[in-house]
Amino acid sequence: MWREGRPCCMDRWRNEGKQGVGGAPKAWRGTSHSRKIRGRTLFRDFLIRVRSWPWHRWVALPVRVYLGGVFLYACFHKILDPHRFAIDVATYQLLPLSFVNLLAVTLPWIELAAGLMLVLGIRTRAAAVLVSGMMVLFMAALLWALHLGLDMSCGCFASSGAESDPISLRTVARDGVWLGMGLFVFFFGNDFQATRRRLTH
Amino acid sequence: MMPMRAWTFFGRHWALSAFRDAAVAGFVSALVGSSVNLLRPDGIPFIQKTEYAILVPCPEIKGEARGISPKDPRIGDPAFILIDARSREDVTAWRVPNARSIPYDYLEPVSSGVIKDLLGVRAKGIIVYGDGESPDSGRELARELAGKGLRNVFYVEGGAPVLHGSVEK
Repeated sequence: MWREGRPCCMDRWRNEGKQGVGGAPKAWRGTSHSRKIRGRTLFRDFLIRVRSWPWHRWVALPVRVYLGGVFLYACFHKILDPHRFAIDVATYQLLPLSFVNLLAVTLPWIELAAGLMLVLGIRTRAAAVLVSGMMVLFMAALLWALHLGLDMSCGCFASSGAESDPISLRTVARDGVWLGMGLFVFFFGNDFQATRRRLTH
Repeated sequence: MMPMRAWTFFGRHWALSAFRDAAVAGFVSALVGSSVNLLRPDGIPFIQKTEYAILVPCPEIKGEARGISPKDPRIGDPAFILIDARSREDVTAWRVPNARSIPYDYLEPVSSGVIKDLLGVRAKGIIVYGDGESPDSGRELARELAGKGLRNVFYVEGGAPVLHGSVEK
């Protein structure tokens, strides 16, 4: 990545460009070094363009409310019936028995906290970190269950049977979309205060 | 323009504070969850001592295998792989000489390693015998192997009890 403090050959290239010399020095043109620097510049330009799009924060608003709603809905049955959820966790055969109940007791409340934070716009980036972390865990668990060939329900929203809600690559893809949404909120999300400022000014 | 890293481009401070806040929120909510579980009458123990009775549907078997008589000469033919689908205890008690033991589990599919091993052996076919009960574990295993791409898979009708008699004679 970009070096700070120490001058880089990129600086020389840039400075020469400003002074009217323009482009990479002849000796560098077409070399792998010049291509590498050009790639870095293109990547940085891409980041600047992505970052400077003014509508990100407005897109992030419904995304975070939707994601929060999903998590609030998902945690509901788990909080009401922790025993059932513990069985769902045990079915994945991923955790040792001593950790199953601990996860079944704590995870739904973390989902509840993340969901509320997203919907209400409180520390949305922290909530996005929680949501993205949980999504990575869920996807890993689903892939593990698919690898074992387990014919079971994902237990994400209700402890329904495998016949009505079986795990599949589609379930993993759905979680992948939610992970993408979580990352989007992490990078471009806005909390309640900032949204209010934008609305009032 | 000052050169910058992609990390600082997005802002290092808010990223770090987001991770810190997430850790705090996660810890507090886990604490609340644990407290509620302690207080509620239908709370579960934090550490489970006994295994959960997990109910999963049996894997669907898609293949089809043909049954053969226990007196079929192919059973003693070394060109065929003979597989015993019964449990380890039953196999220890008695088995047909040279038969491989692959205990059939109605809930667990046959591992891919076993399938690879069988695919790697050059044989005219596979003959499976099981416990001879209803459903016969030998027939089920033969169907599963056929469903996983193995050809010329047969099962012994009546399974080990019938086969035991005919082999002894």
